[in-house]
Amino acid sequence: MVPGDDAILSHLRRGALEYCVLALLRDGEAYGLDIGARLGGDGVLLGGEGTLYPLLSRLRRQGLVETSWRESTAGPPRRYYSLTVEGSQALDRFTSVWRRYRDAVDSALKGSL
Amino acid sequence: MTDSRILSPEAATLVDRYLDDLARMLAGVDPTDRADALGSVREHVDDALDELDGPVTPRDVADVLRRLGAPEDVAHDLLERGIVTSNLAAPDESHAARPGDGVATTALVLGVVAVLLPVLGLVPGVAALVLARRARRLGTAHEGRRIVALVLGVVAIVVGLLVLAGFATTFAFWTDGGSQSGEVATVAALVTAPPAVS
Repeated sequence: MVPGDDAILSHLRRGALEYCVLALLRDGEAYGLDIGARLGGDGVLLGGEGTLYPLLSRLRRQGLVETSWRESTAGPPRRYYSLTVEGSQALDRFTSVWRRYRDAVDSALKGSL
Repeated sequence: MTDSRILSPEAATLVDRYLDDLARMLAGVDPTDRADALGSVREHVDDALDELDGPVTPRDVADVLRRLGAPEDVAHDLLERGIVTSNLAAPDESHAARPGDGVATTALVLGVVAVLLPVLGLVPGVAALVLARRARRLGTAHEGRRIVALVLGVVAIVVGLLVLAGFATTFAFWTDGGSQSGEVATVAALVTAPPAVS
């Protein structure tokens, strides 16, 4: 049986999504819904938004992100997420491991063509 | 926390039903993880509804919930990614066939054979031990069989060695001691002698 696109994506996402969230925060804090919109636009990185907030919550418990409440121009205050020093280090480490992983996969795929 | 909008009863029911469904799907999950996941999903819903202009309609709520994904998909995703951890001892894992299963079963059979054959059982006993160790290295869902095989193997080896030692002692006794000690000859005579007829 050939696995469908969704099954393949779901496997690949498993280890990468949390680092994509950290990467989105590298340039500054972001609001939860905004992170969801930036990640979830094409359905590649994020299957459904239902996973995102629990994931953010876990990253917070792990000390990789921190949150602060900000007043918004309209409506109630919003919770903003930003990287901690540890989160930033975790992201750097993932980035270097990911490059090695990606290169290895790419060269294996090219080799099989 | 955010000052959530006041929802119409109909819209509030939709949200509550969604969260109840999700809570049910996460029934076997660590309570802290579960509360955390449910709380954060509710916060997401509140945030998304706060973004909207004008009164929140049931359709708005349905849209937000659709973007979250079906409760079973969200629960599955959360478990699969390890965002929440299951309280139950991963049932899929323990029942799934593992590479060492056949080896564990063979080890058990050899263990049983070993115990049934007093001295010859040394060979299958050692084999059962070797295979039980190999099954552990390969990983097996039949941990019970592996452990029983290990125990039977050890028992067979110990009993086999004791019996061998017994034979050896008896043999030494007959060859060495028999010629020197009158007692042995007496005992032997008593044992082998036909019953005295009075």
